[in-house]
Amino acid sequence: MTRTEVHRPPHAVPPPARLAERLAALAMPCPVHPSIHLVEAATSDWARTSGLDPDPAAARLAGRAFARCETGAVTRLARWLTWMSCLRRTPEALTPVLAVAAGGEPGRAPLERAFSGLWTACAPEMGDAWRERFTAGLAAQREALLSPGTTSAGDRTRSPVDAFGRYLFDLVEPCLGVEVPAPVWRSTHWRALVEVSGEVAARCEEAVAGPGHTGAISVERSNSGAEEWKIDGVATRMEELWTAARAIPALVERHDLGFTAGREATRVACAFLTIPRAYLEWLLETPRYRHLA
Amino acid sequence: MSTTLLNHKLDRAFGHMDVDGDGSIEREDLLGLGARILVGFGEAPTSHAGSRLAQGFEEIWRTLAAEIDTDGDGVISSEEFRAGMTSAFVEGDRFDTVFAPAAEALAGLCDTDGDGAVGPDEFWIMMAAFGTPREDVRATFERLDGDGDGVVSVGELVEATRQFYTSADPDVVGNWLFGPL
Repeated sequence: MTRTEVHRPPHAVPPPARLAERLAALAMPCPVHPSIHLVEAATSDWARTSGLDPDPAAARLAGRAFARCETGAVTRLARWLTWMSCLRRTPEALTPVLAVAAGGEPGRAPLERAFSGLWTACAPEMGDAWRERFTAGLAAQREALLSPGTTSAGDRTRSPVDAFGRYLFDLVEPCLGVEVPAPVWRSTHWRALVEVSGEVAARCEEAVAGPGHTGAISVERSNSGAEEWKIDGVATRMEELWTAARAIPALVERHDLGFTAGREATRVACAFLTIPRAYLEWLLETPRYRHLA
Repeated sequence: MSTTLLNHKLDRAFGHMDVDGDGSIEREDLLGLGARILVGFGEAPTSHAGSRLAQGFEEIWRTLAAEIDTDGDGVISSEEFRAGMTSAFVEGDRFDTVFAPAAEALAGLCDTDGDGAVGPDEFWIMMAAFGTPREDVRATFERLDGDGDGVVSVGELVEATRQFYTSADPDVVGNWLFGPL
């Protein structure tokens, strides 16, 4: 029996409960940062000042993803997630946002101005390679959300993580104040860690939403089989997530990166291990799915 | 009784967290050690086993900080660490209630198949998180594996942990937990 195989609950149980029962790693209560109320208040103030809609659920997602981190790191992530939450409602804003990331002046739209502030606060502390990764993630999301049925010529296969927002995973580094060494983030194992963590989160959303939901992952199944198929998919990918994580210490050793660089990489990897669980909890806290919890 | 030996071991333990060698540690350093262990085993901090370990490390830090960080700056020097570990866990009575649960959680993580025994591969993952050189890990494992059956029981690992952090006896096998002293 694998760590994902707790037992198979009956079909009558709602999808979120079945996910939690099925997956041992999702069954434990997800801790939240002890200062979450301060983070929520500070993030709501920032959102109002920036002209964005405050989103307490975004702050709580940050508080769960960074449950044991210092309050400043949680607050930084909460601001980014609030911005992301607004962006998902108006993905066409990604085009001017990308222009700001490339050095352009922000327009009058709150999303652009808020991005400019967040970008100015974190990008200068990070290397060129990180900035390129981050903006590539924004561009991939723009393409995935604005033209979901097509890919540009010669493009790689579009991943569910592109629509989900690959840059969310890149944000972990500036929020924690670290930068993953290039030999690590360029590695197959690290890319798998990011990809699978994002895909598990995206699949959780699919599984929680149940039949009829059309999200990042297309499902060509009957409704009765689709739910079980989605939950199976999460279980399989969770195993892959853990396998990818286990490869990181050996990778750090092989590249002789030193203990400090290794520590920074593992802090980020640990966040990637946490995000799917935190995201599931966030899904169940959002008004859209609260009736399922 | 050799307090010199015990202090030497506590200095080694301090070094497991003070990875930048600046002579001080913060809560993040202990949690960073926990993160290295969790990632090594591919365990999420939110899983049952992962949260046991994270909570165990949190309790150790809380105890140490309450014991010695009188100025409340959240930073512990190597001298303070030595003093706090000694007063709380060696001379004090909080090993069983605070330190042992973390040690048991760690040993439990190493016992990946739940059979009560830790193999050399799992032992290496744990040792790598503490920064023990690979060449020392095999020798350490052989010492802990007293009967030579190729595994160390979870109970033996917990006892070796207790010996490393609290015993001044130069003959206990737990002195070798993180390689030669």
